[in-house]
Amino acid sequence: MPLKILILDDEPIVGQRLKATLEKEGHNVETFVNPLEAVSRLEGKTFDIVVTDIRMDDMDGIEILELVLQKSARTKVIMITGYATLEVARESLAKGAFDFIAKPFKLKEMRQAIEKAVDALQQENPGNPAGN
Amino acid sequence: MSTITLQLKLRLFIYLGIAIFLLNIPVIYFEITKLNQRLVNLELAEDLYNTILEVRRYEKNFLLYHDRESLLSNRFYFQQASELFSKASMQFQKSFLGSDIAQLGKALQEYEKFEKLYSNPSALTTNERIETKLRNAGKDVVAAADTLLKMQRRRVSRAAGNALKWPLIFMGAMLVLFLIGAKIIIADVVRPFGLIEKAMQKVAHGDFSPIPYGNKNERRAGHMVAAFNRMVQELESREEQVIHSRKIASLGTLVSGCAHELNNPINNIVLTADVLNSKREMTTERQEQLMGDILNQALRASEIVKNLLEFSRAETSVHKEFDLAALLRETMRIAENHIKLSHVTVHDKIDDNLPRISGNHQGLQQVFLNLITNAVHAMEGGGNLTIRAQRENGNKVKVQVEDTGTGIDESILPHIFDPFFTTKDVGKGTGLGLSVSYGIIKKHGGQIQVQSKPGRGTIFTVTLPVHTKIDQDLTPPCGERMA
Repeated sequence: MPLKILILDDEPIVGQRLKATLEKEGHNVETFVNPLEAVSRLEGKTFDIVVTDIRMDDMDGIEILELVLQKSARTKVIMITGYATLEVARESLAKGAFDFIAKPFKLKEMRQAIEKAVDALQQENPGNPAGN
Repeated sequence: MSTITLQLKLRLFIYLGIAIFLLNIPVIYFEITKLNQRLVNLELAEDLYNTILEVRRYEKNFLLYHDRESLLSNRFYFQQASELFSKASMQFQKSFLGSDIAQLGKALQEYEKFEKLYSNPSALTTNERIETKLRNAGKDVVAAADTLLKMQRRRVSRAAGNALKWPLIFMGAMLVLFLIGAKIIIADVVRPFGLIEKAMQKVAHGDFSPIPYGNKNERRAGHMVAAFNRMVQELESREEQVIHSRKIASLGTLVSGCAHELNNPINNIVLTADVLNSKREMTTERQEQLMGDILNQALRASEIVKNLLEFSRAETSVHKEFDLAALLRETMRIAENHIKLSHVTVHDKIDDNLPRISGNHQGLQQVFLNLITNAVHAMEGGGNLTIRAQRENGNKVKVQVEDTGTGIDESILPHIFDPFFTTKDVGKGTGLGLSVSYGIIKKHGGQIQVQSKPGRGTIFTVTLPVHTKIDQDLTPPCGERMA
């Protein structure tokens, strides 16, 4: 069951590596480096999973989180940050993030987080994880 | 002069003043008593003189009319004059008027001799020769009495002069003493205090140069200056420790920023290595691309570490020639992460043709990093940070760090360079950044100024001479102390 996944990180390599891995698992992956471009894409399309960095130049990952959940409450948002502080983690989880991954992470950790998200989506809406 | 301490000098003057004052009292008492005595004497001399004139008046009447009454009166007054004379001679002997008195005494005796010739009534007949002798003797008596009187008057006037002179002399001496004392107090107390006050203001602004012993005024203040310089030296060594700890503190801030910054390349390396490590098949080209990514990210991480190391390097006062523009850009790079996290936009208006300047690279970098960090702190919600640098007239360079942040309230503006003054919350700022910066710029012979409008932003302006001569004596061997 292919999921629509958006990945936002201002480090291009993160997107490149995750996209390659996740596409191999059969998901539809779109990657963005610029948060503003990602926002305009998010406004046009509803994703199943959004992976976003917290600290970025033009925009805060928390803002992205709020924006995504406002538009589609069932979308699972996974936060990435180099700032692995408890406060940021607590804030993003309190604001409705599904999971939280601290840099540096391995592909496996991200895959596990995505799988957890898939499970959650299936539980919420069995048979139609994409919500279509 | 310098061997006598100030206290001893002042004590000496006070005692001398009291001595002069005490001496003044008996002298004035003595002079007034003398004057008084002489006035009494003068009165006596006047009485004597007047009585003698009476004697002569009756003598003249007798010689004109040959009457008994005039002769009796003449006798009576002569008797009185003799009494006055004996009183006077007793008084005047004491006053060293011996010769004048003796002369009058002789004249009186002579007069008496001729006068006695008229004691028997038969002698009432005229005798030209005796009359003339009597007249001459009378004249002599008057002349001697007159001399005595004049002498007496002169002595009174002299005593009056003395009675006036001595107080004046003492007052003059007191005045001279007072002036010398005042001069000593001004030279040894007031001026040194002024000197030290000025030096203290400099210290308050982080300039720890000791007071030189150069000129006379400074030498006079010897003890105080030496004590002050000792204190300043001590303070300066503390300040150096403070600079060091301040650096460690700012290093802490930087480290947390750099940790984030380091995490990115490390994460990229981990992810890429992970892909390479997976058992999936891939083309050689793909493998090379991934290896290239790892290499690039590793270099990026090493660059960040290099920046950190450069900042934390131990030696702080190496004096060398360097490119100021490069230093400013390097500093901006160090603060880049902090700037980005605060959503601050940087405007680089650094003139590319800045002259190379000589100075303490490390110290100046600390100053500019401090200014930039402060500017970013003032713009928590984002803003514009403008760094300007250009050459100024008179072989100077001007660097401005301008922010659009909260600004500094006018009431605290004069204190921002004071040590330990901070507007940040407890535990967030040491309040040493700007005072340390001020000290560093001062040591370069430069200036640091601030303009601020609350709510609009702040501009810090640093002016540095192109060729700085740092007084090596004033810069402690930090290599040793900081090691």
